[in-house]
Amino acid sequence: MSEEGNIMKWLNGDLSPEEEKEFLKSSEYQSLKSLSDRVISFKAPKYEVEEELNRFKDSYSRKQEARKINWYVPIFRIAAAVTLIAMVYFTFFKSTGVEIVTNAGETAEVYLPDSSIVILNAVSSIKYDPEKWTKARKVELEGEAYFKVRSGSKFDVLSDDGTVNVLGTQFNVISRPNYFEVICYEGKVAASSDSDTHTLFASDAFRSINGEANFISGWHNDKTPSWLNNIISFESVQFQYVIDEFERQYDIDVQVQSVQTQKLFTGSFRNDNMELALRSICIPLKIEFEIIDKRTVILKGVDK
Amino acid sequence: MNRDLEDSCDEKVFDYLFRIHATDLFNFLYYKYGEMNNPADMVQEAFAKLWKKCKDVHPNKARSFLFTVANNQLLNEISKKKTALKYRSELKGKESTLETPQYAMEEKEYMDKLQNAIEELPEGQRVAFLLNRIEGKKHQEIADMLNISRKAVEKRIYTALAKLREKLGDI
Repeated sequence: MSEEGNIMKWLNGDLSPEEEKEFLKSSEYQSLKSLSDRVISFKAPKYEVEEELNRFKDSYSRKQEARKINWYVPIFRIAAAVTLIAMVYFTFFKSTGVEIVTNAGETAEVYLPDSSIVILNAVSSIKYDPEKWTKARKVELEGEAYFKVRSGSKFDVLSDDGTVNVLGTQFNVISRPNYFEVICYEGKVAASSDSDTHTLFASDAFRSINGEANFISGWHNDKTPSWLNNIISFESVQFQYVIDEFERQYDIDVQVQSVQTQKLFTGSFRNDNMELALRSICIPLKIEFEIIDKRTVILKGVDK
Repeated sequence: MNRDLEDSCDEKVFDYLFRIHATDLFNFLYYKYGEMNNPADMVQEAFAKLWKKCKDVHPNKARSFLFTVANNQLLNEISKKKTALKYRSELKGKESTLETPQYAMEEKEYMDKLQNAIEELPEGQRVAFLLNRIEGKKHQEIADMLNISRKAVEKRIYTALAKLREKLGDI
C-alpha cells in the first residue's frame, strides 16, 4: 500500500483497525498528526440553526397556502375580526406612547429615553414610545423643534413632509404646511423629503417650501437657532408664513387687508414684546398695524 | 399526509429542509469564503432562492439545489472580502500541557503560518480539505456537496495536505 494510499484511506476513515494501528506508528503519521490536530482549531463557529431559521422567517414573508373551502371558516373569520377589534381597542387605549404638545406662545423641553433633548417651539408636538425605544427609535414631529442629540445616539425624526435620520448631532426641524426645513448646527444629519435626500453638516440647510427642495451649504453661522433666544427669524420666506408664526407665538389672530402675503420676507421679530414685534415685521413691508384687542390685530397694506 | 412531504412549499417541510441542510451549507460557505463574507447571510440567501423556487424543487433535490446555488456564486452577498479564517486555540487537539513561554511563542508562530497557508489554498482544495479534516465529512459526501467526482475530492485533499506540509516545513 503506497503511502499516499494509506494517507488517503486514513483521511477518509477507511483503514481497518489493524491497518490504523500500523499507520499510527509510522513516522509518516507523526508529522501529519501535529498538522492535523492544529487544523481543527480552524473549525467554523457554531451555527445556531433555530435562530437562523427564525431570522429567515422574519425576513422572507411567507404566503399562506390556499385552504380548502370549509364551512368552519366563516365562523373563524368572524371570531378573528372580533379579536382584532378588541386588540385594536386595547392598543389604542393602553398606548405606551408619549405625546407632548405646545400651544400658542409656549415652548417645551423634552428628554428622550436616550437623554437627547428636544426643545419645542410654539404650536408643535412630538410623539415617541419609550417602551419601544430599543427596537424602534422614532420621534414624530409636528411643528418646529430643536434637537440636541446625545453623542453617538441614533434615531429618526418623522414629519409629514420629510424624515431626518439623526446621529449624535444638533439640528432644527420645521414641519409646517408646505414648509419643511432642516438646519444642522452640529454634527451630521440626513434629511429627506419626497424628492430628495441630503446629508447636512453644521451650517447646512435643507428646505422644501411649497414642494420646491433646496439644499444650501453654509446657510448660517449661528451656534443655535435664534428662537431659543426669543428671536424668531426668517430668510426669504413668504410673508404669510411670518404671519402664521406670529400667530403661534403670540396666540393672537392676525387679519390682513391689502397685504401681499406672497412677498418674500427676510427679517425677525421678538416673541416677548408684541408691539416691537409688529413693528419689526410691518415696517420693512410698509404695512400699518392696529391692535384691536388682546386677541386681534389687523395689518393694512399701504396703497400706493 | 405523505403527499405533504413532496411539497417544498409546505412550511413544515421547508423548516425541516432548513434544519437538516443549513449547518452543512454554512460550514461549506465559511470554509470557502471565510468569516468576513457573512456566510450566515449567504445561507439565508440560498434558502430564499429555494423558497422562491419551492414549486420546482422536490425536497429530495433541495440539498443539491442549495449547494449548486452556493457553488456557482449565484449569491449576491459575496463581497469579495479577503478570506479570513480565524483559529481558536482552545479547539486544538490535545497537545502538550507543558507550555513554556518559548513554546507558546513558537506555537503562535506556527498557528499564524498555518492560518496563512490555509487562507492561501485554492478555494476548492481548502473547502475539501477542511470539510474532511474538521467536519469529518467522507469523500463521497464532499463530492456531492461540491458537485465533483470522488476522485477529484481525494486529489484536492491530498494536494492541500501536501501544500500545507510544504509551507510549514514539516514540524
